Amino acid sequence: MSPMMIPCLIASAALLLAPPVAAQQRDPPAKQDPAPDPRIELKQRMKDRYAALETLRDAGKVGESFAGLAEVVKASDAQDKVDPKDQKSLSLGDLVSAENKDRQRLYDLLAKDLKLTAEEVGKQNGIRILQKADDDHWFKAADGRWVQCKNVRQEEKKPPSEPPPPVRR
Amino acid sequence: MKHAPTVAQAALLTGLCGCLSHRVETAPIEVRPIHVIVDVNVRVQRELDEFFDFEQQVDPAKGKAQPDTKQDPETRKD
Repeated sequence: MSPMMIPCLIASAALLLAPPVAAQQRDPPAKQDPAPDPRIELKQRMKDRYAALETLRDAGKVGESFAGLAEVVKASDAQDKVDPKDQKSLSLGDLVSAENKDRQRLYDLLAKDLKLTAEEVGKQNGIRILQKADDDHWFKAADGRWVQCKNVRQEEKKPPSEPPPPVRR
Repeated sequence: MKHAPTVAQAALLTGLCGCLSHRVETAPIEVRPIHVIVDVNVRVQRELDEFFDFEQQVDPAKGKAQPDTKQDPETRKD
């Protein structure tokens, strides 16, 4: 091999190697981050609201409906501030609306996952809230009456009768 | 004696006030319990419990009694 060929070989090797490197620089591998789970944001917002809502439920100002949504018990209280000392705080009505918006979004997401309707998921959340509620918390019955939890008698729906399992011998 | 008419008027008014009676009748409040048929969907309840797990974390600070999740070993069915 003549000494003149050495630079030629180096140059050709460089040409061969260059295009992939350039291509790599031009097109960095597109990292596709998985879409963030919307439930995480929902959960954080509802967690932030929970203490205030629980205080209002204890005070009898906010109640729950069997559809799994929060409601202001007396309409006249809707304009009251969540924190009466802080005039910049949200009104009860605004707090409840924000909570219900997030709950509705959650019910939609769960309904999609579980192949149910959002109404059914909401009802199930209503049952869950009722079962863990204090006796003095208020619930809105289907006919629009407000009743305290202690006056709600729960009856479990009986599952359809199944034939007895075959006895194995 | 100058104030006699005023005193007499005041006494008359006071006397009349005693004759007035204000009676507010309230209908007896009857709180009838409502019956709710609870149809629990275990799968949905599990998902909801998982999502609302923060309620369990917030409540102890408030001093609320938590549901006893421990099972009596004698009654536990394996």
